[in-house]
Amino acid sequence: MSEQASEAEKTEYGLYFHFPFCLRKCRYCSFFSDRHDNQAEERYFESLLRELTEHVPEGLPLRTFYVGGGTPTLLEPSKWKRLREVTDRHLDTSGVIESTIETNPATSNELHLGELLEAGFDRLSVGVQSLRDVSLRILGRPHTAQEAVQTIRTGRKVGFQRLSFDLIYGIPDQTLEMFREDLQKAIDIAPEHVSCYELSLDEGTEMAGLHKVGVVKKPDEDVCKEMYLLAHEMLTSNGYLHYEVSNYALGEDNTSVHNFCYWRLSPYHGLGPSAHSFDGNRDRWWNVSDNARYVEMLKQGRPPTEERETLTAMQMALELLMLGLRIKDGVNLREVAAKTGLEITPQGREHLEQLRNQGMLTIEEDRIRPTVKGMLFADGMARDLSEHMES
Amino acid sequence: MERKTIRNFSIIAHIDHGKSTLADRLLQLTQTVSDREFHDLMLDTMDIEQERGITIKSSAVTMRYPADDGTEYTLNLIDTPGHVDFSYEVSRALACCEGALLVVDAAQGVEAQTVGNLYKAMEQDLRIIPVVNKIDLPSANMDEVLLEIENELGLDVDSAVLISAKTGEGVPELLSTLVERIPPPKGDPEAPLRARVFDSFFDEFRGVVVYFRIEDGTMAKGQSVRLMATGRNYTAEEIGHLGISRVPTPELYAGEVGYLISGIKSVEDVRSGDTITDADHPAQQPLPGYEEAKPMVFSSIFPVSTEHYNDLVAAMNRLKLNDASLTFEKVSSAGLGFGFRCGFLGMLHLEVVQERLEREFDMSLVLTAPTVLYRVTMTDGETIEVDNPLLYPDPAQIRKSEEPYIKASIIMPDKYIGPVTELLMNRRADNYRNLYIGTKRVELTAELPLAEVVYDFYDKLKSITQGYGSLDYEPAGYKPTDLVKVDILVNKRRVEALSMLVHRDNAYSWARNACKRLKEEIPPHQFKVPIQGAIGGEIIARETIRALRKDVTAKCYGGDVTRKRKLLERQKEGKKRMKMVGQVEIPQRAFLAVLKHED
Repeated sequence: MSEQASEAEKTEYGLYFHFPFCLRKCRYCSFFSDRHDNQAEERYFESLLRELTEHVPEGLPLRTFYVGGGTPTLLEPSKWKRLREVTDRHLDTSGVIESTIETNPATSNELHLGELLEAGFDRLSVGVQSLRDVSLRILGRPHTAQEAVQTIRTGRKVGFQRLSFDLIYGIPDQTLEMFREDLQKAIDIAPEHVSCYELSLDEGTEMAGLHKVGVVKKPDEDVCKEMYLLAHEMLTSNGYLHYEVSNYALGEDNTSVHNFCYWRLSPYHGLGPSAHSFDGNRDRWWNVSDNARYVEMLKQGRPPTEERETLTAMQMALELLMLGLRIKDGVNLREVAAKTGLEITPQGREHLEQLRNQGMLTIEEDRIRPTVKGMLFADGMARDLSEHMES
Repeated sequence: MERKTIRNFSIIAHIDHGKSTLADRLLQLTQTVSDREFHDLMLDTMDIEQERGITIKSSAVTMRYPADDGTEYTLNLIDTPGHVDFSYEVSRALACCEGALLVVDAAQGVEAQTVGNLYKAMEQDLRIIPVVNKIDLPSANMDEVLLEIENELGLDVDSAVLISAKTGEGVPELLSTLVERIPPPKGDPEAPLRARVFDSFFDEFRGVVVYFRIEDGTMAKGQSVRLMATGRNYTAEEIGHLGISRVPTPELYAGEVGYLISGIKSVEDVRSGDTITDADHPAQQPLPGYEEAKPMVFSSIFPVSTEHYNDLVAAMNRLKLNDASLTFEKVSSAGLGFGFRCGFLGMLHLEVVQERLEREFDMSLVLTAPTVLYRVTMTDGETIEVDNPLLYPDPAQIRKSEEPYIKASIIMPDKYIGPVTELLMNRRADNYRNLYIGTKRVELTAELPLAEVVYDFYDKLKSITQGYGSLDYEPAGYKPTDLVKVDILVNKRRVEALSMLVHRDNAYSWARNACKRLKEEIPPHQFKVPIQGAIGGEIIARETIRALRKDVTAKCYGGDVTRKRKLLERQKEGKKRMKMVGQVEIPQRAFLAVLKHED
């Protein structure tokens, strides 16, 4: 994406809807969701419409539309269609260039996916996670590898032009060879986009608990790093662009425009329980992670906000670095200075030179770009570089 | 006040045997504090004291006790420190008393420090009242404990008082026994003033407040007084009694305990044990027993970040106002910048100073490996004292090295004799003896190098004996030794703070342990970090910290940037507590972790 485009993004918002229900919780998942329940879903959906019409400024110009969860395909496609219609009426959707919905295999069939396409979604993100049944069981996924492949094929068949494919590595008991097979199968299916991320043991998840007590064991860090490099090697040699730590696309046109909102600190508005929002300037806020409270607050006419924060210049700089160093285009230090008033010190320049010599990044005037190896150290580099920012 | 109604006493007890609880109970019973003001562990006023349940500084309080015979007695409780590091202060406090309550836990029996302090009390001819505490415990064994007190300590148990400080049972009886059996103070009220200083502390608003007991003569407000150790004169701006707060009074007489405020700027000018006299009619001789507290353990203190040196200077000077036994001088080090070489009474003292600097002054510090004071005789016959490994001379120039020894006494149940003997042998004990004192308990005595005791000996002893072993020690001169300097190299750079003088026999295990601990404490870097132990150019131990594989959150979408940023912010905060050595960041806690070694 060109720099002019990123300028334009400032005014156009990414719109995110969180669907907070699942048939069952996957062992590793730390996103907010409850067990699916028809009545709760009904109340949620009414509240979501209310949040959209009462708490999002009218006529807000949008660039992307994204439905995630949870398992959004548990909701009737007709309701998603209604949501889109309400959005069209209330906000400015003329500039929308990407509409994504996440789906879990085994929750959607041909008819279903066809209706979603008809409802206006043009990008389908499929939570495949693994193409090996044992791994899927370890992750606690409610579907088989066969069903996952079938969902992708069906999505293609009904006419989705942009398919994304989630793949997890570093699953307990997974070997490098097994992951190679997963990757090869993914490449054979040829989705436009692959999200390939290492299993993280988030605090509070069942997987983290099982790992702590030793019931399951992740592959060694060395193996996980080899898996990262293997994914890079296999996917890039098959035409994929490695454009973010964990994301690959068949060409620039297939990168996730919506996710770039997060990585480039462009504004986004999140609706639904636990959804996060950012005004593109200094303010972040997020909704309550509780379905009942979400419904109740909206009923009382209050925005369902849990908390807000206004970033300090240093926090802003840290975020710009932390997120910018995740993507292949990196971050422009002149832009960081323009947004935060903080400049890199001469000592910081020396530190950058060291990082370049270590093969972590490239420097082109004010733009620093992480290398493939450097992306793996984005957090550490951001943390250290932010120590060298001064006004 | 009539002297015959005054009782000056102290409480001798082992940690956890209930000294503070008993003191609290006495304060409540004599209505020195109302229940509303009452706060557990009244006398231990520093946070660190309360947390560790020990008394570091002496303290004193005056109580009024109306006895059954209609007389109102004045009871001065002079509290003593409960840790072996501060035993000098114990002697000073005991010198101000005519009697002591010897408190023994009914379930645990007599402990070594209790014995040590009892001997100090006996040397000063104090009247001792044995008190068996915690008789409410189901595990209390009064008969066995009384037998121990009689056999081991040679005390008459007929006068022993059985109490439960917790429930208050027996405490009223204890009070009447106290006024009956402890004699009133002697001393000549007509003689020139002689008052013994047993404590002093720095008050934000009033300057130094001196606690003392008058042996002879009278002290009056406005009087010109002299501290005999320094020869300096001051005006007694305010004198008074010690309640829970200070109670000013125009005059104090022989036998009384009180305080003095006289514009003294630092506690350094008023040492415990010093004698206050009248400046115009001075006493011929000071009271006996004054000596300067000698530091036993030395370590350098540096700020983690060199730009905080000035804050450290200010903090040290503040601390010094209230801690006369802390000695320090400025040092500089190529790797650590400017700091202070400090002398401490022992490891507890060191830890207390470190904690106070960190908590009260918000400092982030690096302390170098503590060392004792070695004596080194050079080939040219000159003898030097070495308290800093970095100043250790070239071994080729050394004819003889000597190290300080202590005589240790350990009391414990006899079933632990095996492992404790092993501990002593691992710590190079000499002249080892054991003696049964009671049917199931034994006292071990041995001479040990001080260096083997200061770091973690007490913790080890406690853990081996499941808390039942107790330790007391006193200096026992110098003995020849065979020293080597072990350096620790992190990523090929010597870490000055970790250089250590150790006995040759211990060099390998010390180096191995240090490398292992550092490997556990230093977080992985983007490169591999070798950690080595070396004597001169010879590498004697090695560990390697693997390079960091990644430092990034795998998944970053869904918009929750805040949580990830906060994680980095916390890591940045943590880094402020790390010391850069070359390219490697060493967490502050790693410097102390190295000192914990396995036997």
